[in-house]
Amino acid sequence: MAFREKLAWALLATTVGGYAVYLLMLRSVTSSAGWDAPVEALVPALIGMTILMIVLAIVGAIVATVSAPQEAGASDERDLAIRRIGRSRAYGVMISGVCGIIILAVSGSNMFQAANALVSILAIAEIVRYGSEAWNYRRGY
Amino acid sequence: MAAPPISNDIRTLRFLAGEMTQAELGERIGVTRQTIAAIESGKYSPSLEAAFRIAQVFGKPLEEVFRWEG
Repeated sequence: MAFREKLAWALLATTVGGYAVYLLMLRSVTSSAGWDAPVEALVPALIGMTILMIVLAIVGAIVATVSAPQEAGASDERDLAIRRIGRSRAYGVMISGVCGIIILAVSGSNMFQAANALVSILAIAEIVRYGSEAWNYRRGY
Repeated sequence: MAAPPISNDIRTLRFLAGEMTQAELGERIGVTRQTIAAIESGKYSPSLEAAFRIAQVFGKPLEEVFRWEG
C-alpha cells in the first residue's frame, strides 16, 4: 500500500474515531440535560474530539511514514486529482448539510441542536473526503 | 469504477527498454511508482503532459504508447 493511501486510511480512521468519541460524549450530555442543554455543554466533547484527532493523525502519519519512508512527501498529478475529487465530494456534503442546518434554525431548533448538526456535518464531510481518497487509491482512479 | 477507454503499451515498452522499472520511469517523468502502476493497469489516465513525457522517454510518438479504445 502506497504512502498516500495509508495516510488517507489513517485520516479516515482518525476522523471516524474522533467523531465516535464526540458522539459518545454528546450522549452523556443529552442523557442528563436533554437536547435543550446550553451550547457550552458541547465544549468538553469538542475538545476531546479535537485532541483525539490530533493525536491519532500524528500517530497515523508517523506509521505511514515509517512504513514507506522513501515515498513520504512525494506527491504527483494523480495524488492531486484524487484529493480534488475527495474535496469536491466533501463540499457537496457540506453544502447540503449547511442548507439542512439553515432549515433547522429557521424551523425553531435551539443553539445546542444547531451546533451539534454543524459539528456532525463537518465530521461527515471529512469522512466523505478521506473515504473518497482511500477508495480512489484502492480501486483506482 | 469503469476502466478508462485508453489502453497503453508501457509494460512492453519498459521491457524493451531493458526492464526499466516503474520507479525509474516515474522518476524520469516526475510521478510516483504507484502512478505508473495505475497507468499501466488502466486505472488512471495520465495528463496530456505526463503522456507526452512517457512517450518521450521511450522515443515513441504518443499514439504508439497510448490508444483510444472508446
